[in-house]
Amino acid sequence: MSYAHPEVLVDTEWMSQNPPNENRKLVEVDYDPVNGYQKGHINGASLIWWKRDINDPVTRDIISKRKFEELMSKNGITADTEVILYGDFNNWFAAFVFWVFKIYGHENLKIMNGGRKKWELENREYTTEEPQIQATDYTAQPPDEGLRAYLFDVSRALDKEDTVMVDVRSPAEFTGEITAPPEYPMEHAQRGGHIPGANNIPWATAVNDADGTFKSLEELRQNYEPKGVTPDKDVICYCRIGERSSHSWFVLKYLLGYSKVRNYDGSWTEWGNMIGNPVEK
Amino acid sequence: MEDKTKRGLTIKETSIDEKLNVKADKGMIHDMDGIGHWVPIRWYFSKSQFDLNQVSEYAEAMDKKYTALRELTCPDDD
Repeated sequence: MSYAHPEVLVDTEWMSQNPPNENRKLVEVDYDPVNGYQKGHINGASLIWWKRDINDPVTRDIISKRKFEELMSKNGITADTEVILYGDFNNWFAAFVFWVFKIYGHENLKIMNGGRKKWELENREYTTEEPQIQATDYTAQPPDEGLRAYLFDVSRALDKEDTVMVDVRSPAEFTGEITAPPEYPMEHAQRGGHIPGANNIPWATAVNDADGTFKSLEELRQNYEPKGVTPDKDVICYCRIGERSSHSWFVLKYLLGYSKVRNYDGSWTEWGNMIGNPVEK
Repeated sequence: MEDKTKRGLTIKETSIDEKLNVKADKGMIHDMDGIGHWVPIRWYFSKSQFDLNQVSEYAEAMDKKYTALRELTCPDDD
């Protein structure tokens, strides 16, 4: 049985046979482009640097509609372009960018299953040459706020039976043993633990460990449904900064086809720092 | 010699720390922009090449660096 929306995935073999062209753009999304894109990327891929390109440089927020349009133009993307995203860190940031593209209404959008990890495991080629891109005119849609949960949505959901919270962080983060691994000293919070009532379903449980590809439909169902994360619920995913949760948001919304899934990108770095917010350990 | 401010950091490789020219366990720390930087966690000074005084000098230099950083952000009142 196939995913609810199989059209949102391509595999590495398909990608190698169908390189980018005028109507198909390939975009690498990196958290760390110095150790990713700049060392080598798939031929023809442009770069979206998560921190620089998709986040507002001053306020903690995603970029505005106007900045999104500029970013699309810079990457040679029109409203009709087929865009394929892939990236470092198990496609976490590619999934975040997928979420932002959907907020601004881009239709023809896919993720390369397995991202850099699978491409490298298969010893496929990289280049350091950057593509020549002609700027485009792009008009985005008004933001679809139905894909995003804010602090007040989460606070309001605390007493709601019909809303389930999915904490996709590691068990050590969920229990409050750590607030962030030592590798990410900028991502700590003042309190450890989780949002009361949240289910801990780590992002990694949705992927095959060997190559980072998504698990099968049945395996994914078994991963979420027994924990009460069912299609009839309003689902809110969160992690530490909203990137791993956008990966799980993608799984629930596009692979399992849940109708109401939101990503709480404020995540633990917002919730765990707010004075007075309830915390469960 | 060990940098205890790097405790808990995953060792990703063991190679020569070019600054001290000594084999070292290294990990990666990501900065505000997400860029990963290799940092030494633990150095293996061989007894045949180094004496304790030399190693102590390196340890004191490291301690001085962290004291200066602490003073920059949280200076003592006195």
